Amino acid sequence: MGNRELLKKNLKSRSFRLNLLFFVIFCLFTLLIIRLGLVQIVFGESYSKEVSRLDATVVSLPAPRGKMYDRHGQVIVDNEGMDAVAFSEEPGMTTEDKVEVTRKLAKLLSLEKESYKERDLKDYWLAAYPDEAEKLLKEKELSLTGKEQYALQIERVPEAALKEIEEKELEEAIIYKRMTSGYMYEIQTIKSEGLTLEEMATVSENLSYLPGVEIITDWNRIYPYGEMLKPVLGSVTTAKQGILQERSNYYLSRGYSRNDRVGKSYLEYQYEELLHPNKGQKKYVTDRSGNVVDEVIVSEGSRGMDLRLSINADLQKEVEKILEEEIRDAKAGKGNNLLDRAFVVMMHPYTGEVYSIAGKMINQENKSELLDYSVGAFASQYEMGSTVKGATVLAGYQTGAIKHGSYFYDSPILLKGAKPKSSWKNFGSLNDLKALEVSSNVYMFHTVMKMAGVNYVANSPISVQQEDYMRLRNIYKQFGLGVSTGVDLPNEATGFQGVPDNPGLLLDMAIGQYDTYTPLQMAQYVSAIANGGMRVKPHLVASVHEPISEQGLGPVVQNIKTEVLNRVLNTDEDLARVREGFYRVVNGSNGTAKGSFTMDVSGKTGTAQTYYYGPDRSKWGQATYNLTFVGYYPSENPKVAFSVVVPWASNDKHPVNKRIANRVVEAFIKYEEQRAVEIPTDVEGEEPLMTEAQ
Amino acid sequence: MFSDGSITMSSNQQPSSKIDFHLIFILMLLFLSSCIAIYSAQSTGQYDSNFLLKQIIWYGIGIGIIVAVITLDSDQLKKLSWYAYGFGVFLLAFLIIAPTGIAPVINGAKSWYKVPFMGSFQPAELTKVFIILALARAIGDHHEKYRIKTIQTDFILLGKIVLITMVPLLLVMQQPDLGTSLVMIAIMIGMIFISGVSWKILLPIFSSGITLIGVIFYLVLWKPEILEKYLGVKEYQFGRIYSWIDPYNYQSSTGFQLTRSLLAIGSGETTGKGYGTREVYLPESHTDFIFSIVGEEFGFVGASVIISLFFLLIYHITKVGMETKNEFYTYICVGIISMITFHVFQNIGMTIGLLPITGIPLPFISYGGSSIMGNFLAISLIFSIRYHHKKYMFSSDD
Repeated sequence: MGNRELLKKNLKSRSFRLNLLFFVIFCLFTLLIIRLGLVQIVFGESYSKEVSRLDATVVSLPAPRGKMYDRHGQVIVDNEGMDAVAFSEEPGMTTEDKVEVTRKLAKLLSLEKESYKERDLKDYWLAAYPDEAEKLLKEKELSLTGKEQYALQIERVPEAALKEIEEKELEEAIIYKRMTSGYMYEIQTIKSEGLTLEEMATVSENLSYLPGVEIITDWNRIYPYGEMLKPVLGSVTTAKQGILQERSNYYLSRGYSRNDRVGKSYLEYQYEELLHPNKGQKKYVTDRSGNVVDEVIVSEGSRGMDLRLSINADLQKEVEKILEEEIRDAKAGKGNNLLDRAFVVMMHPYTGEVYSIAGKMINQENKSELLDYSVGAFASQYEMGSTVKGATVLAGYQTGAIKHGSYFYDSPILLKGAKPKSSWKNFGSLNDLKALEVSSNVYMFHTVMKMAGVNYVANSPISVQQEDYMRLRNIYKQFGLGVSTGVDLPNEATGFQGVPDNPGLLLDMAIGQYDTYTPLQMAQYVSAIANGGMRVKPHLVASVHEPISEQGLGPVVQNIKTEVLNRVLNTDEDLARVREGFYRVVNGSNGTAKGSFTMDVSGKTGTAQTYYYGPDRSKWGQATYNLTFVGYYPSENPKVAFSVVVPWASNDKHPVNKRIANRVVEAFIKYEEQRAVEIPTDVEGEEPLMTEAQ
Repeated sequence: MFSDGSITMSSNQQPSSKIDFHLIFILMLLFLSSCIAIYSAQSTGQYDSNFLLKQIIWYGIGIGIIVAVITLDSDQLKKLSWYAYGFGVFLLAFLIIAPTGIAPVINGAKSWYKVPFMGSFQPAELTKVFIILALARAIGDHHEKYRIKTIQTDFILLGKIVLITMVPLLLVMQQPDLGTSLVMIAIMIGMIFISGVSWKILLPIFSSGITLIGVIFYLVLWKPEILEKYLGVKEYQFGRIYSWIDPYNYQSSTGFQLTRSLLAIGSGETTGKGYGTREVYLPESHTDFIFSIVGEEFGFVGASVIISLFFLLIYHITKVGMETKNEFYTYICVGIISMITFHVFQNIGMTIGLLPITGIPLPFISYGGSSIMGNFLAISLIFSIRYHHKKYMFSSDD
């Protein structure tokens, strides 16, 4: 083969192969075009649809809780709007964006240098200086997960950097912490307290440069009547506390978010479902890339339902004042060093509406100060003494142990191995009415012994079965003594019932010196006597109203109806007989409360000889007297039933219980009865719901 | 197809036509496309840099490279080729020992030099072209030495080509830089193909190569535990393959880029959404995913124009390779064709889900200094070939 031919042959081979190569490339490019056609033309439309599909993120806006009014439409729990600079992370925001917003905000706001943790400084530093943060990682650690990397970085933030942040960028670090402390898309308050008008104005002007930042109104509870009844009204959690952990399922199943503010105690807790605001909603519409395309206020939100309480605010205030004055007065005299509290519960005997529920207690830290202990009226329990005798007499009638007009001889009961049990004075022969009037213990002892089938012989042992205690307690329970009153408040105490170990205790129980009851139970008990035998459920909320923007109560959503829990198993005549006895306590010539009242009151005094078990542990076990009174006004067709409880007096000389009782009845007449008479059409639906039972 | 007998060019008669104006025209169109796409890409504000301005500067430097190389004739290029190859290998090798101050680790790979005023520089981009030169020289020398082809000489030639490619290839693989490694393999395959190695050798090699790839894919997809057991490869290293096959289940990792890219290009539909009206955010869209921008804004029409431009470019280079009677030049042309074809096919292929995602740029369009310089170096060789083009006496006489 010649050189030239060889070259020619090679050239030909190269040309062939080049052509082949080009053919292959042509095929590859054709493949590209076909695939491109598939993606853009065949499936293009579905891709377009996917792109235009928008995501929506809903953010809630704060709205106020429902207000609480007193029975006459005076606001007792209100809301106060607090302007706040707040931040909520917009979809698609990066750490860089947030740091930028932080830096801008720091220039516009001045912040209290609140307490902060080192961790907050570290978090901010890592966010603000990402380049330096990255240098904290070694090459081989770059393959770790983001979380692991961050943990390492947190550990390695240089001390000097933290110092510098502390000196120069502390505000930024605090703002950044507040911005990032919540759940994504939830509004975080950056500054609300101490926010000046200037700050608000400058932030408002710059809102367009501050993505995610907005001026919102947060709501705080305010109390026009100050401290009055505040514990019973209850409290609300802060946004930081959020929903209550112990019933988080309850909230979450109702669409709450975790940082929602909820009622934490008593009325706020009990009526959470009604008071809770209907939060506003703001929708962020984002495209597939996470850019915010639109911001829509879906709803402004509205206040929660308003509650009209059965409480008479003026009366409540006056009753609290009376308690303070009388406690101070009782303490001023000799003794009474253990007396530190007093309670009053006033309610409508037919409807159960509570006009006033008050408790005052000396502050153990600062003895000149009296604290509100209204909660104690249903959450603390005491031996109530002779006030329970009405129930004992009715138990006698119920069981047939005594009849109207049955006589017993009042002289000390002598049981074997026990101290003599007597009345405060030996009355000799007396009937049921007289026994109530003079508060005979012995009459009660005989009654319950007869109930238990005991044939009393002086100086010999008596035999009492557990069933006998049970029978008496069951009858007491018909009146509400020793059971839940059903009040619309959480954490109600129901009284303590001991396990008796000697027969004498049955006798003690009959005069209110064994089992304990709450002041609210006492009010329910005396109501049942006053109203002819119905145990009505006490309630603090009278009606529920729609929130309206104007002042005053809106349309009624629901009237809380009177609820009769049970009827006591006595005849009307039995009850009338006990009322007669109660009338004589105040008006009879030997009545224990004779001359104590300026008004037509019936009732029963009580003086329980008991032992101190109060806050001062060193005094535990000291003999004291619980001074009590239950009653109603007026004697016929009563409008108010009430209980007064003053535990741990040193003796029974100071008539603190009766004085309080008289004064609160006077206050009731002044603030409730006369008010209703004077202004009969005060506010619509204001008349007390006199759904008198037959 | 081309026919070597039908070419009648008169470029050597008029000095002005020694400059390849066709090629200049194609490059200008690519430049225009690049500017438009990069300008749109940087409008997302992912970075603060003005990439457009920098890209224009890179194109200017590229023209400088053409001016410098165009006057080198065949003999000078042959002489230079080994030095260039040596230089390229040295740059790659030095990366390994260079301190991170000079050669920082970026995205987990040590592939760049820090160069003052220029930013970072990726030596592999230039080395690719040096490999083409070296292979072209080696193949030419081989044919000079062994006038009579036998199976034996073919094996020797094959060995030389593989050896020359392997040295820089291994250096690039350890960086690690999968994309560039694949480009080098593509160049090698193209060179083996054109080198004249007998079909008796080529057919079994190519068919077994294709089979091997098939088996590997089968193992990766269905039996990853076998690969892990015998080769020590961890499952996550196949992520890009998994996410290519099933991008919607791998949205968070590499699949994210693919789904985003498919969404962008797909929603461009036939005519696109119009310039600057993109809706799909894509990170790094000014470099490797620049084609997605074109596809979204200009649709199938615009994307096809870009693909056609590249096809035109390759057609032109093929023509140059066909027309020249200098076998050294032909080899260079084939090397460059292989390189550009692989880049274009792989880059566009990955943005439309045809191939797994590999980080290599779209030549002349993607932003990037090293890439532009490498491509211009390659294209300057074509200019040089055209500049020194001679019609051979025997070209049309049989």
